[in-house]
Amino acid sequence: MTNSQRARWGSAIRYFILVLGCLLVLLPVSWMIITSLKTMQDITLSKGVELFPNGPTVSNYITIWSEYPMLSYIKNSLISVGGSTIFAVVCAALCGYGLSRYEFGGKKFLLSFLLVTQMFPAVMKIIPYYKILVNVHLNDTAFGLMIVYASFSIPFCTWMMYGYFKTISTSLDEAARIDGCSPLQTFFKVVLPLTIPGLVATTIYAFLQNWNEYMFASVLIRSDDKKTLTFGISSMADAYRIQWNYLMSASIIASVPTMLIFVFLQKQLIAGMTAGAVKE
Amino acid sequence: MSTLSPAVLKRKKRLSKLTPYGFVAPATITMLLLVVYPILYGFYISFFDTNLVNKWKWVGLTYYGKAFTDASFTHSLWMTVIFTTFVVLGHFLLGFVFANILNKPIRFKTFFRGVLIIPWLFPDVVVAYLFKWILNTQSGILNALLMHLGLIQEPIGWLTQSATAFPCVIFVSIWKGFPLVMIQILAGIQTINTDMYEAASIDGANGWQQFRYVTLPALKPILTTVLILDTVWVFKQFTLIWLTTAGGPGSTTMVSAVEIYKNAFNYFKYGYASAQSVFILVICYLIGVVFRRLLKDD
Amino acid sequence: MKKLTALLMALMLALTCLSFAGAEESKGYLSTYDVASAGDVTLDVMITSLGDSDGGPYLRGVMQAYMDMYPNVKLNPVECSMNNLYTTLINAVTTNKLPDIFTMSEAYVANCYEMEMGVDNLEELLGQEYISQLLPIAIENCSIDGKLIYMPWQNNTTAVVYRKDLFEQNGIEIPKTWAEYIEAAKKLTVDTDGDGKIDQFGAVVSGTRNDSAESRFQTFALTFGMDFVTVDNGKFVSGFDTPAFKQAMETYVQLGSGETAPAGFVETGYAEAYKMIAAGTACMYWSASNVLGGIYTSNPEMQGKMGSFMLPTAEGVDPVTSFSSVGMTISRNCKHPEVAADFLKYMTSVDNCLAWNQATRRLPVVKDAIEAIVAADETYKGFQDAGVTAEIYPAFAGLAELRDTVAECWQIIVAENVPLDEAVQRAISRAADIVAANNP
Repeated sequence: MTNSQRARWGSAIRYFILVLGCLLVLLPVSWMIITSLKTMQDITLSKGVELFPNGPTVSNYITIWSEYPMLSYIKNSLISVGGSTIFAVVCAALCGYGLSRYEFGGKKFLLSFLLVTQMFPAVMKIIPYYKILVNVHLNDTAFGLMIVYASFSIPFCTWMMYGYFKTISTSLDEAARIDGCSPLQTFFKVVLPLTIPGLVATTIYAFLQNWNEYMFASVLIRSDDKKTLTFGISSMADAYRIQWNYLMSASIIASVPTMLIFVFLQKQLIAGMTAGAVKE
Repeated sequence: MSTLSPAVLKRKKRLSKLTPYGFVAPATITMLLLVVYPILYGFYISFFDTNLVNKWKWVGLTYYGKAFTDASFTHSLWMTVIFTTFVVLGHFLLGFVFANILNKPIRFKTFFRGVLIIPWLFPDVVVAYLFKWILNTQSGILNALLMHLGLIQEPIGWLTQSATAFPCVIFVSIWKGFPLVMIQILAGIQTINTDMYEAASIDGANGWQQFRYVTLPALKPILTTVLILDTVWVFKQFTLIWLTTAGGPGSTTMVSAVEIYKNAFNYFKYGYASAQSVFILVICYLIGVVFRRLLKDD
Repeated sequence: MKKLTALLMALMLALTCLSFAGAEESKGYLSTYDVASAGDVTLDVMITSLGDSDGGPYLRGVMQAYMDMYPNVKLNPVECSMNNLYTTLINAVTTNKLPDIFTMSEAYVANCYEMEMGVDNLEELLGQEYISQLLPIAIENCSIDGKLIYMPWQNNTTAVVYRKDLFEQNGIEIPKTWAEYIEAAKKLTVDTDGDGKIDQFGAVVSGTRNDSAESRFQTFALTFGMDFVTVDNGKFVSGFDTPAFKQAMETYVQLGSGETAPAGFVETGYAEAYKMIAAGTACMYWSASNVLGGIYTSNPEMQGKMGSFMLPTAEGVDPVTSFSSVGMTISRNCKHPEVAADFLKYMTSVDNCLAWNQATRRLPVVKDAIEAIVAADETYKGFQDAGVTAEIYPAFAGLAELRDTVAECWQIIVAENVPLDEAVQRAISRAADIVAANNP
């Protein structure tokens, strides 16, 4: 086989794998979209592969706005999740940088402490979190939820940032230090710009993790007008009734902000490394 | 530089000793305030037979002993280990394959990447319900489709038979979680200097060798982190399993998180559930230690 | 207009002080407390039905009507799904933040009592006159040691709902025994469109493991003469170690995964089951009356086609069914328990019970309201008949776990092919452990 033949085969296989992966993703998602275009009656009564016994309808997308306070769900999610993401990523970037650049007493302990805190089964944290928030009068508020979410994200984000910082040579820091930069300046002006892809990935991660969180919101939030989007969506399904059509159309609406964020930020993600950086 | 007096230098040195603490302080303080208390609280109630309000009966280490001999707890631990192994393997396999392909010069890259990221954008709650419905024996689209195409004659109970329920739950968890690993790897790959690949290909390295000797070592720090954290999360996975099979049929998909939840919030055995949680904590910690030993970078 | 109404109300209330009887008639409910002069009152009302698409709007309407009647009262609706109820309550009670009024059910009543969540004097707050309007069995169901823990509201008497039209078409008699039930189910299991595949099944049975199917089995077991637990000299005794349990389990599995049932027994919960009835895939299911609401919402064409009959029994067992009630209680943290009680009485007035039934097809526990509902719609006849034979379960803190035991039992039989005898043995020993753990 010549080189060009091999290359062609290689790229054919690549496309094949990609298309296969996309199908695996898109088939369930398309079922979601189809469901969101059905009436509840069609969902219950249609048999077999019959898609739209009475034709597709967009009425679900309109009805949910009046049936449920979708706007306030979105607002609450944005406040608590957006706030926690910013807070967590700032803490994590600083912490990750400190861990990757310095040797100091308690470093090992701190690293495993951050990890260990992730390991306690989440269900057993529900009651203590509630107690904390009640004690500081922050239960049933978006701000309270924000703090809780930040504590979920910080460990992972720190570890991620720690990982990214480690891939960047310390010779850059030294060069900056010689040029008279303070540690903070070195961090902000020299090292951080180089980890933008990692920073963006971490941010997206933190945002999504909490955007999709349900269990804690369902316990820590009580008022209807303070529910987050996932909490609101999940109340469309309970033991007595599952409103598939609402559930699916609301889920699609709920994923629009995350899609937008992703589409917007993936430019940063693929921007790659700053040209000419000193590498190992 | 040469103009600095010894006193100033000394102060600078002391300051620089404090610098790392300054960097780590915000994160550490937040975590101390918010995470240590819940864990200590859990540890505390594991010594009591309690309803958390007005019944606090000291039982000492009874629940820890009980967990050791409780067949359903050991069963659920074992299921968790199997579940975690398959799901994490799946995440990494898919994550690596797709990240590598997406890093190559291909057409419609943005489209492919956009599609592959989709599962990650949906809440667990929705993913669980979606698959529960697709896989439903009577009214699920999968059975309807397979029967329509003549591939099967009778509907298959995907989530109702032991033989298929566990693989299905694993599939759903992989489906939901692989984009995260993929993105982390992709971001990691992009921080690798392209010069190194050029150098490698000049030296005559083929695709696999480039991957083995350039990509993998460069990704090691980030991979270790993702591996440990992904393992820990999958180990604790609750929502997806709870909403698709609730641990059933029988106890086919009964992982520890579901078992603990049932003990705490269905049977009100908070003390016992806490003792089980402490066990999980210890086990996860040990997994972390082993991983870090195995993947020691340097 | 509103002002005028308020003025009128005030006038009536003034009269109330002089004569209770006169006010009763004009307000349509048994008010015994002068709410209008109670000053500004705010109450958090956490009733699980608030989140339902059928019951929710209705309940909000009732709350609004009450606030219109008493402008000094503010009622805050707090949503909470039944699945989240206990987690929410346990959090609330550990921090003394219980809502003023909250949903309570038989599953949690023992815990509610143990943790002293409710007010001490619920019986007194509601008044003997009000209580005497309710079904005695409902009062018993909501009491522990003769003390009323929560106020009954929903009447969950179990009966079989069935396709009356198909029974008539095929000349099928109402089954009295489970053998007859299976016969009837066989006759209704047919291929209606002639494509060689059966598309209408006789009966659907729930096999999920989420407390709903288990409670159905518990009622089913009664008809075999088996009680999960009985109380003997103040000690709980397990009923699992009896031939009746094994017989019940065997029949349940046969009904659930046999030829007369749609495939997917283990994943068929309440919601799946009523949708099958609505879609015409299944013809019989036993449940509380609210299942009719589910069926009608899913397929309005089913109205008029449904009927109900008492649960069949095993050979030699007298007709029997279970009764339970989901209701409300007033929190021990409530600052105005009298107003809360007055609202609850308003909420369950005969008129409001009828409207509630229209919205959700649930039956109330107010005797006069049940009479009126059954007189107007004979679909509920079976529920009313069954009510006479209804029994309640003893309050047992390990009930949820005991129920889980039976679901585990049938699931391992069906999904893991564990032999019946072995599965039953496992259930017996697990039940024995649970009962032992709950005995002093």
